[in-house]
Amino acid sequence: MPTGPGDDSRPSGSPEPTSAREGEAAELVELVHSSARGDQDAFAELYDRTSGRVYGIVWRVLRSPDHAAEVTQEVYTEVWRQAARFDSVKGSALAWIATMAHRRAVDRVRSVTREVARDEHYAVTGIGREVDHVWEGVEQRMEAARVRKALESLTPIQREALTLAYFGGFTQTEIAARLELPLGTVKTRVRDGLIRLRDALGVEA
Amino acid sequence: MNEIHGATGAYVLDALEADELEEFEAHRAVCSTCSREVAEFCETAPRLSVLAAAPPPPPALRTSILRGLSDVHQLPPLHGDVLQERPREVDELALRRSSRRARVLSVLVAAVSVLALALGGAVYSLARQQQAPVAGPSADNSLLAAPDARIVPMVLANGAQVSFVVSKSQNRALFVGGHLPSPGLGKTYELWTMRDQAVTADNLVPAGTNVAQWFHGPIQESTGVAVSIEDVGGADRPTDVQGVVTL
Repeated sequence: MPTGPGDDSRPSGSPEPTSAREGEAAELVELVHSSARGDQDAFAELYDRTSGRVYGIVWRVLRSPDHAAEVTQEVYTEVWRQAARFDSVKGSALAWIATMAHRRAVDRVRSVTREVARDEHYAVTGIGREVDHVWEGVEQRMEAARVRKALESLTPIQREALTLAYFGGFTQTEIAARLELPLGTVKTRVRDGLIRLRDALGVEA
Repeated sequence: MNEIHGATGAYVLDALEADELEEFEAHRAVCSTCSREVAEFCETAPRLSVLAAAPPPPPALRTSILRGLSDVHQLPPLHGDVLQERPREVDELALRRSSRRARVLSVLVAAVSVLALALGGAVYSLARQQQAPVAGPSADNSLLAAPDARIVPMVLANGAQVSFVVSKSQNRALFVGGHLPSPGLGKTYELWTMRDQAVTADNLVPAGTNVAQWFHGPIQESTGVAVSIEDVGGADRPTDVQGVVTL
C-alpha cells in the first residue's frame, strides 16, 4: 500500500517506502548492473531517469551551466566506469550517483567558482519553491511535496544549515559564520536535521 | 574524541573541513555506529535533490556523455571486502591496492587494532581523494615510508604544480596536485605508465583542490609515468601530454 506524503509515523529503521519508490529503486539497481555489463542502452535509461536530479543538484551548487555540464559529465563517466563496483546491499543506486554528484559539485565550487557562484544568499524559502514546473511526473511532484513537508518539520536553523550545506556547498565553518552560530552548534543542527529528515522520509539504506 | 560522532551529518553533506574530514574518516573506519548513520544519511540527503530548482540538463550533454562511453574503460568488479567498511560510492581505494593488501587491510580494520586505526586513517583519507587534502608527506605514510620512495615535483604544461610519489619496492605510485585547474569542457586528466616504448593508460584524475590519485598499474617494471589531458573517459594513447617522469 502506498503511504501518503503525510504519513511519517513510521518508526525509524523500519520504513515502508511507497511501492512506487521501491519499484523505481529496484529498476535503477538493475540498470546499474546492466551498465556494468557494458549495456549502453541501459545506461542511457539510467541517465534519463536520474540526470534531472543529478544535473539539478550540480547546477544548484555551481550556478554555472558550463561547470554543471562538465561535472555532470564527469559523474556519469564515473558511474559507467565504476558500475561493476556498485553494491546494492550498501545503498540505493540513486544515493550512490547523487552522493558522487554532490561531492564533485562541492569540490568544484570550492576549487574553481568560489567567487562567481556563491554571492547570492540562499534563502530557505527559495528552496524547492519553483520546482513544480521542472518535474513533469506525478511521482516526482509527490516526492517533492513529501520532501518539502519533511523539511518543514525541521527547526529554522536545522533547515537553513542543511540547505546551505546541500544546495550551497558551504562548509560548516562558512555556515557558522553566515548564521552567526558556534561551529559546534551548526554541526549538531546539521546532524539533528538529517535525523529528522531520515525519520520523516524513512530510511531505505 | 567523542565529539567526532557528531560529524556524521556534516560529513555526508560534504561540509567538513579538510582536517576534520580526515579525522572523521579514520574514526568511521572503526566505528560501526557512525558507519551506519553515514549510510542512512547517504540515502536521506540525496532526496533533497528533488527540490533543487534548476533547469533540465541540456540535450547536448546526454549526447556527449553517451557518445563518450565506448572510450571509457569499465572497471572489473571488486574482490575482497574492503568496501564493506565504506558505504559510500566510489571505491577508488581498492583500485589502488593489490587484493592481497586489501585483504590484509580489511582484516586489520576488523580487528580494530591500533595499527588498523593508523592505517585506516591514511587509507580512508585517500579514498576520498576528491576532497581529502594531501597534507604533504603525511598523505600515505606507508608509501612514503618505503626506503626508495621518491617525490618528484613538476610544473605541468598548463602551469599546474603537481608531484608524483613513486616507490618501486612497493610497486605503487601516487599523483598529487594541490590545485589542479579544470582541464576544459569535455576533458579529463589521465595518468599513464610507460615501459620502454609501450605506454599504458592508467587512472583518470578529476580537477580540484588537493587531489591525490593512485596509479592502478604496476610500477615495479615501469620506466616512466606521465600525465596528459584527454577527452572525458580517457584515451588509449596520450595526445596532450602535460608532464613525464622517468623512473
